[in-house]
Amino acid sequence: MAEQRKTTRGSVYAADTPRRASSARRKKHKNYIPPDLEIKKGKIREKIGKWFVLMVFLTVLELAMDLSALNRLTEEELPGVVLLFGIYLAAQWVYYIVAGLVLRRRMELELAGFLLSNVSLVITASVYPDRLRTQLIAVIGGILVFAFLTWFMGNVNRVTVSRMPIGIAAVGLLALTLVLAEYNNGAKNWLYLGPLSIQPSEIVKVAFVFVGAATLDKLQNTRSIAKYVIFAMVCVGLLFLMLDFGTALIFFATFLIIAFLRSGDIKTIVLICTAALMGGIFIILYKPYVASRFSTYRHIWEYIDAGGMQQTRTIIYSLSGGLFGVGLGNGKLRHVFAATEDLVFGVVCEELGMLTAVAIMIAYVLFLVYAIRGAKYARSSFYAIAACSAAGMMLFQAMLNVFGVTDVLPFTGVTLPFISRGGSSMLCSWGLLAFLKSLDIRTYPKVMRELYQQKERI
Amino acid sequence: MDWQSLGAYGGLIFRVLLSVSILFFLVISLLLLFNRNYGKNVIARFINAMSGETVDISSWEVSLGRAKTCDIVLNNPTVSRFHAVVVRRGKGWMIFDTNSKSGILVNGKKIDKRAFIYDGDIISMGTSVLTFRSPLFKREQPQKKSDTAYQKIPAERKVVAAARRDSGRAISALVNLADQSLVLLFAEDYIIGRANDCDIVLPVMTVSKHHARLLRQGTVWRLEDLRSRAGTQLNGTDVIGSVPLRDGDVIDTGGVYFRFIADYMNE
Repeated sequence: MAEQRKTTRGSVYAADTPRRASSARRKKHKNYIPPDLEIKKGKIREKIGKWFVLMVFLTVLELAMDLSALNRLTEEELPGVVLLFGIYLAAQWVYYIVAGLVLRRRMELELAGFLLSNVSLVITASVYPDRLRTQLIAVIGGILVFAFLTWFMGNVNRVTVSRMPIGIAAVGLLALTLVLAEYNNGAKNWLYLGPLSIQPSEIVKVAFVFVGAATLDKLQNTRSIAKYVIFAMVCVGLLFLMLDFGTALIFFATFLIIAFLRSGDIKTIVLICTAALMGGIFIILYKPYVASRFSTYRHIWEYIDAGGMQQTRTIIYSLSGGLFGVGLGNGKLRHVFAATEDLVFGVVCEELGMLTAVAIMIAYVLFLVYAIRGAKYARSSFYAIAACSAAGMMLFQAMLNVFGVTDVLPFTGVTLPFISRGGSSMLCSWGLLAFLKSLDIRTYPKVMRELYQQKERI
Repeated sequence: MDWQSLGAYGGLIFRVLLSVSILFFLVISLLLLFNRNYGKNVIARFINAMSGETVDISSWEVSLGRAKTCDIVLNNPTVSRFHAVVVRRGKGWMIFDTNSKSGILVNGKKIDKRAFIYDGDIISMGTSVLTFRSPLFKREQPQKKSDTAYQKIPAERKVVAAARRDSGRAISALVNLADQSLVLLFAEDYIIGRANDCDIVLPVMTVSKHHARLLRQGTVWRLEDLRSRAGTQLNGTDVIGSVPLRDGDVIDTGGVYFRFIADYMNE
């Protein structure tokens, strides 16, 4: 006899084991279906009403932002920009229909990603309308990368088999960049393939997290830690040789996070000591270069029109925006060099307001909090470590950018994830988001069904 | 009406609404991620063959070893600090040997780095013996060679009586005291030991390859120790040579205890 009972949240779950006459109370964990899910046609599915509401809200919000970005455009630029905004909105709804309705996936991470990417599109449209098309291609490419990686990491076997080739490819790519690349603003981190310019280190960031995370059988096998340390040191070393100290520092910080998550005991201290020692040696070896790059740190007001120009302007203009900003298009920071890449935090502060900028920071923090809390329910330690490292890397990079541009830390020229204009940066950000998505077992319906539809008693 | 200042106020209201909405949206959509209410479902179980203790498994990766940081801690000096990892992968469950000193035996066979395990498999790590239970993943291979002589069923004297009824003669039995399983003795001669060619295979490190012998002489079963390392005890005293068994006797072969159920009724 099938039983149905309404819980306090209004959802319904059915239990098809007959009730014993004596027991009036049903234990919560027997065939327990969480309130977010429902059973239809014998299969467990996600309830999807709330995603539609949120998508509508998001579209309205994005339309408001898009319209306010149009005030500085000429009549020639206007139709192109409007078309591109329209394409982006359409792309989001296509994704919603495919992933949210057909595949019945949850969409929290995607929604946040959509909004953050929209901020980058809106700022690009307002400052450099002719570059909007490349930025839109980057965003859509990022979403595709996200979808691919989420699918790819659904199968743990696929993941374990591909870690080694990806590691080799990553080191190879960095070495290739070192050999082939040309200097661009003091760092040798760009590859020019015809019309495209990419930053290979951004792609390697995703590979770095992928290789660093490991399933429990590899973790408990103490010999594989040495292999990983060598891999990490090679990556950081190559980046140092490329003079991209900001990215090297990000890799180093992520390495520390991964090493801590992998070992979790005394080995960590040993690793950190060797790592710090290695860092110290590098600084001593490269002292003349490093010193000259960071000579303006804490002295920006003395070099107010030279080395400290970007930082001083950022500090002045970002705070002049107040809580709610001066409005898109009305700011002055946009005329400074690299306003849409490194200084974009200041532009957001000035034109969209401090509240928006703080909201973006909160989003990064919430990614990390989610990764840490969700690690308990991970299918495999691979997902737990990958998600925490990816979120940690994103937050660390955001901190380096924001603090560097306001002279709290030395200026290192790293981009703000999702918000900075730049194809490689956008692809990398969506790639890191995929690790967070794969942590959630609700993304994989087959896994969910196996966990929650086990009828037999053990 | 001063349109300029109205426009300015309008702009301000717009910017306020926009900023607040962005903050609201990001926070709400990400807080939904924390919307979890899942209980821990038991998906597999380990049963300690010696003590009968059960450990429920509700995650997909479980580490076993002597170290306190392992998921299942085995307080046994013959088990390495990080001995094995049991994971749910692909089509079923696997066990990985993570650089253990004494290796892992699955159903008596030593594994090489990794192996699939199924419902009912017996996993030995050092002298710890665990039975793995997960009803969805049963082994498809047939049982071992001594199938007719060896049936694992709950111990009941009724079973012995039923066997007697079905076969028409007296069937004695051994009850494994650890997991209360019954070994019906249909044949005349049984060798107990760790080797695969034994009739009753005990995959425990303290049991010798050929440990003891059960021989039926007429209506009486006799127990003989085959010069095993640990020796064979009958009701606590060492067995020298061949001794007769009586109903209710407790046999100890290298740490594995059996109770002998004699069925002399119809003889």
